[in-house]
Amino acid sequence: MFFKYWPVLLVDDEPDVLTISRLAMKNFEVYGLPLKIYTANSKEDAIYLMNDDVEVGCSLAVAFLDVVMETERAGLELCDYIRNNLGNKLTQIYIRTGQPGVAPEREVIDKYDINGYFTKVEATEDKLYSLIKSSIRQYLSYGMALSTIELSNNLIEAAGSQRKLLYTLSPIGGLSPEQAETPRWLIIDDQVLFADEIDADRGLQLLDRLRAIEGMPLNPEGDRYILDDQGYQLIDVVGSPSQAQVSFLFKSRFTPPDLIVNLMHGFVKQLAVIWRQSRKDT
Amino acid sequence: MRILLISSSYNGLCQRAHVELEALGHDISITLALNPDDVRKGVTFFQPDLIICPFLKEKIPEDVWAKHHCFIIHPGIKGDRGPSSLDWAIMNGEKEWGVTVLQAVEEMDAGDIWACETFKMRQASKAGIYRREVTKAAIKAMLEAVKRVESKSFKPEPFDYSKPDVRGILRPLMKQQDRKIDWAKDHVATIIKKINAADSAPGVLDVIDNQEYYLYGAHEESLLQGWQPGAIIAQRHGAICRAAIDGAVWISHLKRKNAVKIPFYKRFLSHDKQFDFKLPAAKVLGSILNETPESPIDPLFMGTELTFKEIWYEEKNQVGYLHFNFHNGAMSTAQCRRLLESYRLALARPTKVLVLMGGSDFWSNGIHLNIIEAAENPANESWRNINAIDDIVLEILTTETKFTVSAVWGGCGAGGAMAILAADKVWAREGVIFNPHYKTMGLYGSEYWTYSLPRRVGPVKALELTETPLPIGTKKAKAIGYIDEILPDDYEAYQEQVRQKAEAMATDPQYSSLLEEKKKMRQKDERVKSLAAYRAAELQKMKINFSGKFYGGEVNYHEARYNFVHKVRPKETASYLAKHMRLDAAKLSELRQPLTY
Repeated sequence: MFFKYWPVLLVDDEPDVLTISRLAMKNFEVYGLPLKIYTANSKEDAIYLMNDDVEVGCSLAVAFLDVVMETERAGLELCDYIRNNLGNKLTQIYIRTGQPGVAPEREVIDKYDINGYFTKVEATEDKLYSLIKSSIRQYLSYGMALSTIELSNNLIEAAGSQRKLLYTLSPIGGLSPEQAETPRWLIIDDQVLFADEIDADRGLQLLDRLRAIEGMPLNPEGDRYILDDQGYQLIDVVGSPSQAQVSFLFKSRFTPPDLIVNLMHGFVKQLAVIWRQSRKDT
Repeated sequence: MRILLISSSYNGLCQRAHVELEALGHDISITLALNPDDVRKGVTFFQPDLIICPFLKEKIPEDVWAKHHCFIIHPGIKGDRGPSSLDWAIMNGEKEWGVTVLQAVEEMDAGDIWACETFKMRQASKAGIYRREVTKAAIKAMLEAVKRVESKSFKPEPFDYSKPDVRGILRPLMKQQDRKIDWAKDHVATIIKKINAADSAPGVLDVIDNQEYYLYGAHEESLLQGWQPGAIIAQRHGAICRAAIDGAVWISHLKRKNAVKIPFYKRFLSHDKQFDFKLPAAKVLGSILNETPESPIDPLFMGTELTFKEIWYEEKNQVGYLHFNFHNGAMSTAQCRRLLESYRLALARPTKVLVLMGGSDFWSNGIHLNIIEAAENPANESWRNINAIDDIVLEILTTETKFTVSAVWGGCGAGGAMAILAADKVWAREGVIFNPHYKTMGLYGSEYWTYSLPRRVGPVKALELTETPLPIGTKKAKAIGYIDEILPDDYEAYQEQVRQKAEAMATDPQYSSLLEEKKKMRQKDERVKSLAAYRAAELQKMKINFSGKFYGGEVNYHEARYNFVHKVRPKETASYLAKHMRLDAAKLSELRQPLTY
């Protein structure tokens, strides 16, 4: 939810292919955000980049890998490295080969955990556009789903202790390097977590403003998703004897699709219930 | 007894005091001396039988020391008083120094003496002496004093300067004018003494290229020389070599004076980074060193000449000893890569056992937070650093050609405390304190800990060690299988035992079959779950710590690192230390009992 752009990696030993692809993708946007294109001209170069830059190592949305580079199967080995050595199951990996005879489509898709296969001849600008668009949608949905599951698991582990819950929640609230552009607040029973006085006041003012907007109902109990014209978004879970009132207020650079709103609502709702059942032990 | 430790910070000595007293069955709580009210709260809530202040820069409120038995551990001999005891001892070239346990009174360091210990001084930095000699003597004296309190019959010795064994005097705070280096007159030995007396704080203030810097990490150079005293004549791995009238001195670290401190959140908005913390000298000086030649050193340095070296190697009787003495035990990306190269060279030597000796103060404390903080992109540098340290650990874990031993003389924490477990055997000096957890830095941790730690201590203990960020001593460490052997606290005896044990391993008649067994065990483990899979899973968690994007970036680590590097004091004592702040369920149930009239 807090991406500035979508990191994409192109790996190919033909400089022309890299240049043309970069040019073709220059103006692509997904959810209104541009791409940030990294390039590497060999498997080794790509691995170096992955170990050098945390974004390439961890947050790549899409990777287009040539197969035949320094060796006949360098691209496939790179795919293996991304999936198994970096443990990255999220990046959408596409094999783009100029020599389909060396790595036939069926063999590659059977043996390697890739998301798609195409030949360089097929790689028109339109093809790249549709691949980028669909794969980033897929990446975002899958990534949010996995992160939501992980957060939920962490909440369950911390259940019973509000101190432990706060530790679990700290990645979401509080100061952040990108706070100026994408601030976020977690507000439980009108208490703003992880914020100093000034930030807390700002958060509460925004909360009042957003709550005055009708928004979209998320369930019959009255939980709502609200988006204002400045990009501030609110997932508001109403309080009851069995759950705390929890508001997740944030600003994102793009409007999330319904699936992601539902995922976030699921997490906030779970927090509301667990929080109420946990003791204050700060 | 119920003992409350009051300390300016939870430093190495305080941790050791905590571990030692708890091991004796005492009930310990800790409060940091953040303000008088915190101290009073600690005393009121905990109701201690005894208060001990292992490391205290602040004054204790009178109502605390007047009503409670309160000990101050002072790093000086009998009669020594003042805030710069160790600084003066080094500067004056004292041959012997000591630690005194004093009763707290109105006048600082002037109470009755409950115990004292002495030790021989050696040429080392103040921090080095504090961590080794002072800590050892302080713990011995503290335990003696506690025993004397328990005996209830001991009469402490009144503070009396007329007694012949009271050699110390009241000394003032050592100021920068006392520490100043006169490059035109001071010899190498004097320069080193001055820097040592101020290392790690406050450093010796000096001028380089019209800018004031604090100097740290002095090392004598025996080959290089320059014509102009004070001039920078070489650089090596971030350290600078400056000419003196009779030789040259390496200075490993600098801190710029008067750099503007900026708040944590503004740091991200500022494009003009000014480092107001200690860093390798070359990093601080930057382009000033453009013309200064790099003085190379063999990656597996085996020489005996005096020079600045972070990694060196010795070999005897089929055993190799790889030393890596990184400042404060922090290992940057570059240092990890150099260590990996040296490790591989050491592996290629015709030996049967390779002992990883670590450094004089620390074996390792994991990634280099100061270098990361100073990086253009701290998330990227964190990522590089963790990968570089993982590469070393992987190399050790997969060593098949010989046995490896982690010989831990200094302390180790975080990634360093996990990295030691990569070796086949772990031996540690008796007084070593381990901090095998990452939580205080807001990290999940890597260094293959998810493989190495449960393998040694089991999953339950692994969780306990990593979830509660408390130190452990060697007795507990051995009992739970975290280490294999406890070696003597005395340096010479320790060295001798390391040699004897390593040589015994090398000459074991079963050596070949044991090595084969080790290989098979690794292969079996690899089949169950590959090391690559352990690393991948750890790094997946670390990436959220460094730069999460879906629900937001993890701030804990970046903020904790900022606070650590800038020495920002916590607002309150952590709840896992301040036992008195925890809800006492037993007491609550007492309260629930019906009142009897």
